[in-house]
Amino acid sequence: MKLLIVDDEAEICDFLKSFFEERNYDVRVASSGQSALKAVEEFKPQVMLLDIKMPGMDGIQVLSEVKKKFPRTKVIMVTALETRDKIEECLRLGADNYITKPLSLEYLENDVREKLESLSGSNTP
Amino acid sequence: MINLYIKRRKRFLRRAAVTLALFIFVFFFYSLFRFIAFQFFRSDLFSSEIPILVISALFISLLYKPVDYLVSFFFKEVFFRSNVGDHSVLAQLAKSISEILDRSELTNLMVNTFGEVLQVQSASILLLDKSTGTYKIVSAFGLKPAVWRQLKFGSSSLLIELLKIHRMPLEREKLVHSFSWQEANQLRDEFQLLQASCVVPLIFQNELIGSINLMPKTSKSFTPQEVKSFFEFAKEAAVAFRNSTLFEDLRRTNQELLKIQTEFLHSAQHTAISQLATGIAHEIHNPLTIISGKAQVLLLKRDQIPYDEQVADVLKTIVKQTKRAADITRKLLMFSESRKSIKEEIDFETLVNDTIALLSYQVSLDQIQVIKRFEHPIPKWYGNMGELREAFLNLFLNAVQAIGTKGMVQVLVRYRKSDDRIELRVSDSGQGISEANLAKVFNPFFTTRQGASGLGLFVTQQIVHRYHGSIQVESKAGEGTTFLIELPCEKESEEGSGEMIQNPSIPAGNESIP
Repeated sequence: MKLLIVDDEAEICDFLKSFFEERNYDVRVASSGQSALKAVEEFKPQVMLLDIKMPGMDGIQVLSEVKKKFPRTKVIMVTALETRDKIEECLRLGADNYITKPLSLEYLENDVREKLESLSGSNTP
Repeated sequence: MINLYIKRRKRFLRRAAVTLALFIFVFFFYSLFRFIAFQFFRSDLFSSEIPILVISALFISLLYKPVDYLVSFFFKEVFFRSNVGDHSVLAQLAKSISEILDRSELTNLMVNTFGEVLQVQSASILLLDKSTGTYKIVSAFGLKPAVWRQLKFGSSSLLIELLKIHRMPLEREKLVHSFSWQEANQLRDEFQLLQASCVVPLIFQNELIGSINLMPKTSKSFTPQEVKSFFEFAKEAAVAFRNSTLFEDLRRTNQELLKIQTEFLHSAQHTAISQLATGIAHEIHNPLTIISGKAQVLLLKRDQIPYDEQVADVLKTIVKQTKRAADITRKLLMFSESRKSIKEEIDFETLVNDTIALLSYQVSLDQIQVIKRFEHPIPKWYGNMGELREAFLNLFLNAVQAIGTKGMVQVLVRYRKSDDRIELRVSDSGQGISEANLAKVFNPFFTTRQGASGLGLFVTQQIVHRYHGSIQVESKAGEGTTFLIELPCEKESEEGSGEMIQNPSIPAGNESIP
């Protein structure tokens, strides 16, 4: 159960990391778009929590790259803004869900678990 | 009254006076000649009757005209100062109308003065309606309102055409004789419609702006002197009318300008707010996420780190309140961005009924009487049901909350044909809004109620503006408040339909907070 958390806000990464680690996830953290792409290459997470607004490369660019290279990676967009245009763009680029801040941890965990289950369900093509 | 009453007797009296004067003249000269003849020639020249008759006849035929003229002048000056009186009344009227700017006040004063002071049978004023190019009666005395309000004279009117060409007062009696049978008939009809025998043109800068239409009480027509003074008066009246029209235009333009300015201020304010909200959402949602996230982590760790129930309550409050704070910025954002949404045919009756039914669970409507009125037919109107429901819900909630426990809410939906708009009116019998607050009700975060976000009316206004409509509020302290939404009927119904993402996997928010 490999999970990558991408957010430029360190505190957010921290509590999400500890929350998921306690639930026996293998968690990695990235604080920028560039490092996120690198982490995806090395770590090959099954699920990814991706913030949109980040300095430099933003979440939408990361999403597009990840879905091109690793289409099986489930990406859950996590953002402070929910404009209709952004949602549309993310879904078009293949995002698997779109969650707004502040987060409900319970909802988030259910969603991550659901994504993992869907992966293992279709694991053997 | 006296003036016209005397008019008939005047003719009789004048004739009598002329005859008497002639008799006196003839008698005087006869006596004079006899006296001279008798004194100087010692003979009676007029012993025979024939020379007397011849000379008398000569005298009468020569003197009739001048004597008649003298007598009528004398009569006019001494006994019948009526026309002179008309002059002064008209002069006075001209002076007072030059100071009036309100058009209806102007026309009413004019027709009433003609009717009550100058004692005409009927008086009316025809004015040009620039938007349609027709002449309509704007005020009348002695005509039935139901009749004159219907009257319109367009380009086909012979009377109007003649007024435009001749620019002189037209009198029925004189005019109909100089036309062919058919035209004379048409003219007679038009004079009849106006119930006038004399129509005096109102001309300003070479343009016929209307006419004053008069009918004398007793005789068939006015005297030339009267017509002349009417015409003089009409020249001054035309200036007064033009002034009032200009003033009216100015006032209307001013009102429109004020309306645009207010709308502009609102829209500028909204743009600023939406920019601010976008910026704030980013900067605030992150700290909120951290606060709420850490509190949630603690709540979920309760089995590992035991703590008091009191602490758990505090943590729950932290999570709940951070969500509330985030909801406010989200709400602001949601309505400030222009986004595509499904448009569907809106049935206003269903919309109103459903929304009120929905609300009756939340709000106690026991003591509040809700009166709904739908003036059918209401044309098809396309919009987003969710948005429209939100807009109406906010107004209705506002009305219910303004009332408190007991009162009445009236909802009216109707179509206004004149400018192709649908009107949605929500009135309450609540305490009303003070004048100072009235200007602020659409401001975001403005509220007079404890615990309210102050976004309801702001959001409603945003929605209404999105459909290019307008929203107004009227209120009287102690009597209640009325909100009026006006939505223009759009012709293109297909625009933007089917353009909404409906992905069931997207949560509307994070509803499942522990």
